Amino acid sequence: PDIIYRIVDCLVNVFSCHGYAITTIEGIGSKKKGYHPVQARLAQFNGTQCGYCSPGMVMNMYSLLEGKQVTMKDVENSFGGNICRCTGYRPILDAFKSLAVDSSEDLRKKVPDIEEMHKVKICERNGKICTGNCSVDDGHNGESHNKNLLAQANAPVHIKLAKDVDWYKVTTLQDIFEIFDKINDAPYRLVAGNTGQGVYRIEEDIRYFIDIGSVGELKTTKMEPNLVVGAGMSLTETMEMFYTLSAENSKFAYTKVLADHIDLIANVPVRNIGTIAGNLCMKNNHNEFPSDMFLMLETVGATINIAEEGNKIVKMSLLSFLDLDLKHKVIHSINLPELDSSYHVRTFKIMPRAQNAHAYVNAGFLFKLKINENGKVLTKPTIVFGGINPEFVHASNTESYINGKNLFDRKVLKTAMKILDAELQLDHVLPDASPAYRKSLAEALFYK
Amino acid sequence: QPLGILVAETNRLALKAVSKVKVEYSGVTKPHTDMQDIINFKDRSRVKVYISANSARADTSDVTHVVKGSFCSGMQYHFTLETQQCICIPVEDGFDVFPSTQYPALTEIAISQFIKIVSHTCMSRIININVRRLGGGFGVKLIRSAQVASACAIAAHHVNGPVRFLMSLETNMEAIGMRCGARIDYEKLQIDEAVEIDIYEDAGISWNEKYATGTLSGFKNCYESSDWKINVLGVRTDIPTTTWCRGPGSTEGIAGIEHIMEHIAKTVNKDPTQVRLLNMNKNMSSIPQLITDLKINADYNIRKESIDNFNKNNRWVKKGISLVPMAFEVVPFDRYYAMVSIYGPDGSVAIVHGGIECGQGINTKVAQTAAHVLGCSLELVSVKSTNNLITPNNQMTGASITSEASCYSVNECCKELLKRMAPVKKSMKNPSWSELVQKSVEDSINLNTSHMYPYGDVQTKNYYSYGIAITEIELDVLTGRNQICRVDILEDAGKSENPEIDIGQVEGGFIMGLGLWRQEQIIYDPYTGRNLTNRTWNYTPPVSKDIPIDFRIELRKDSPNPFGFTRAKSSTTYQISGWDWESSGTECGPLRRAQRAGGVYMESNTGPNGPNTSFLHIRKRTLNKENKVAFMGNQRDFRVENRENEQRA
Repeated sequence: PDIIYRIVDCLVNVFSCHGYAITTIEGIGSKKKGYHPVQARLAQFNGTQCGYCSPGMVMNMYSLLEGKQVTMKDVENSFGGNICRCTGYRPILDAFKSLAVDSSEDLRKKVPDIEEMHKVKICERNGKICTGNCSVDDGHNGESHNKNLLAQANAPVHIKLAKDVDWYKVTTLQDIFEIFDKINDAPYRLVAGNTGQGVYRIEEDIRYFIDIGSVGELKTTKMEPNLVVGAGMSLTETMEMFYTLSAENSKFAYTKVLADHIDLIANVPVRNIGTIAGNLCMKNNHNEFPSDMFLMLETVGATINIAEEGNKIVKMSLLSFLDLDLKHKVIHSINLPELDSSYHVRTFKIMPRAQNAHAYVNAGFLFKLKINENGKVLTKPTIVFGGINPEFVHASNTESYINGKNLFDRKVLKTAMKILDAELQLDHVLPDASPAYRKSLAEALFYK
Repeated sequence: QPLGILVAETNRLALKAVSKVKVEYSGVTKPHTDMQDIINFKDRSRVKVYISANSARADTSDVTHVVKGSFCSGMQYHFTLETQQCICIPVEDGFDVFPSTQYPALTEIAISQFIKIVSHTCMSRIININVRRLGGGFGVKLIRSAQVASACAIAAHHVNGPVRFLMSLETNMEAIGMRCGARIDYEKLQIDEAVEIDIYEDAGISWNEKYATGTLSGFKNCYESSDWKINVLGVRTDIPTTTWCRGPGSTEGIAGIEHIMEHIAKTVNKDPTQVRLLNMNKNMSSIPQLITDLKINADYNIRKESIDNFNKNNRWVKKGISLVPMAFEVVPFDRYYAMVSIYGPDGSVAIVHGGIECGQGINTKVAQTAAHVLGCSLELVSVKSTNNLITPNNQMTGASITSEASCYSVNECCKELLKRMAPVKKSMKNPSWSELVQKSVEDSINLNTSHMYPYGDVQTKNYYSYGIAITEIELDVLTGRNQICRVDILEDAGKSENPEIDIGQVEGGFIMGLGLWRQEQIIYDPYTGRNLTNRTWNYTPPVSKDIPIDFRIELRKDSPNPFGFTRAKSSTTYQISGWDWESSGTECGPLRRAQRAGGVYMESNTGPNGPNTSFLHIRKRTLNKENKVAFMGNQRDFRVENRENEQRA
């Protein structure tokens, strides 16, 4: 089935779009054709001032509405990737909330006569005024969709971009290693979401681009009996999978905590295409990157599977992965353990604004506890922090100290805090926040 | 610092070429990126007195308390979504220029001066400026757009072909100046000197743009200030020259005096609102009334009580509420043009005016004015690009007066056209608008006219816009994270021309202010002087979930302004009223109170109050029995000091 999602054009390489059907702001409605209700609502609610952010706002809402029942809460949570400097957001959110299934009486009252005012377009199929809520399966948006194009999406492609730049799109793991064989030491880049350049710009001259976004094996999730998650899954796919799984399988109930944390990574369009592997790759390349994905996986004791030449899959801990030379290797999948209800998982991300910023400090805690025995810690807990210094992962001394002790004993807690304070050695690289704040924050999160 | 211009066939190629440029500097010394150092070390060669106002009260015999302190505010990047840019096309008689500017006349002068350097001769008449609209202005396209447009024109002159000049976000943030940082010292408030205030402004590398008058007016706010001695001083640092940014000076000034009011209230142990009322300027009688009204509308007293209870019952989450008044002085300028043409076939109307549409809704208001005065349908009216043929020497679009002034000129044009059509109308029997226009054309009536709004030709003079804001905040004292629960703003908007547009200005200004006071921080490398916060990865303006959960704006009803021509208060003044409200958002306000309730103490402020300055040091507070609480003071100094220690090591 077709998957429709919003992406940001400046992050996606145009060659990655092979097989995409692309709808832009011009495609959904215009002055000539008549406006789409999302566009009309934004104008009606005075949600546009200088107008520069409006196309992005509209497309974000348009794709949110595709085939889904959108609530006001969904609207409120989905615009972290769209900056508006003029309006202060309130009228934009109001406009889009008025299209939600549970829109409030107040908002709906503001809507009448909108069709007349903004010349909303007429549906090509039923001749009535577009309501903006029919799914693509109904063929309403047929003009922008070419099924043949989509069918070609999974064929391998080779494009010569320049005399010494090649673009490959591959569909199997084998293809990737065949290219590795050919290119020797030439600089290459595996391309999936390509969103990492929002964090670290690509400075090297890349000789070979290998688009691995269509390698099915990297997007497969299995139970055997641990959970094996394909590393090529997008963060959005992973999040949705975790929400479903946590509700169905009590051994994986903890994945809800992870899904909630993923909601704090970047923003919707980035999560739509950015992958688990891409995020971990950045952590591998830049150990100082406060990767939320790395943090949450290490918290719950996940391991990583690396595909190497000769059909080999090597399983390793995330800590050893940090030092791994990824040259001519592919992050294949992630193994997540079963954890029963005596395990308590908590993660935190504290950032300078509500959404879409990297953490001052992020933290993950895994404790097997007997709650009613003064919080007896049954096995060595996991205490992981990001944003301390590039090498720091575990508060190992604190973990060892607490093992077997009663966590809710004030004396134990006091000693643990002292040990934690001693082992948190913070670096200070501008423009990051002060070590004093980050240290206190890490300790506060442990206390929380 | 821009060193040169690279022209290429494509933008991508130009950017690649830029990355190949190597610059070697010699004789490098540690730059002054922080004006605090200059002030603290009293380097007078870098300090200039802009204004010295009033003299301090001589008789201080009744002084019972002395309040000393310092208040700082940080820089802010305008973050127009459209960066600085320009297109310049050499044509038969000179250059067609499409700059993104709030000030076409200045752009024209600058280009003309630059072209003169390279080709010995150039006159303003050959520079054809066209501006359709801007993707955000906020003051950064008043002066700096001229620099960018001139660079573009020089390139077009050299290649003798069209050149498009686009600034990347990084270059824009590094090379173009921002809102200036400010520091307000009131430590001189001593018994023998009475009230004396020093306000320092970071000028950047040159003294080009001075906030001083706005700062002075903002600092006086709505208070009786005749015996306060106020010095406004510029400090020359080595960062790019700072420039106008939404509410320049008034933002800093109001936040500063409101901080002091809170400080006084704390010292004399009185209700802060009472302290403000006691200091109120008698000529601003609107303010006490607005305070009373908003307190009732916003259930202030009930909420304050429930917040006190909340704080008693919660150890780690605290709330705070504050009330802050504002008076913003509107100072009219002159030279705002408009031209109106009416067309025979259908009675449609076209307008060119000298203001620039940058999101403030000027075109809507201008069109509304024309439709209202002419008595025709709004749909018949359209507004064209601003150009310097019809609006020569037009004043800038700034200081929140352009909408009002442009509307005035349109109003005059329309009245003149109606006057010309009056005899025709008299000869007809209840003609429709289009019949009247058609007949006027047949009778060869001149249906085109222009007008320039001059200073003093109308009943306009300086006046004040007033407003009150009540803000409630909730703080997690362990992490410093906080959420604005509710904001109520009551704004004296005069008789608003377009309430939706005006509310939009108040809201937008308020949220930009939240960014300034809470989360936007510019950090320079103290050794290289490079701006380390030059893109969205490290500079974080507010996003949609940062706004107040409950956000209520009300314009005061039936309050015509006797000084403006439309009885409105300057149509974009609301922006400024909006952007000063943020001072209630943090500095003197609810965040501080929540912090105090939670035992977080800050002695001085040096930048935005994000989570990183609003937290409680957990280990010391909870686990040691000391009553002392953590002091999270001067972050910026700490950083520099830290680096210096590292270097020494």
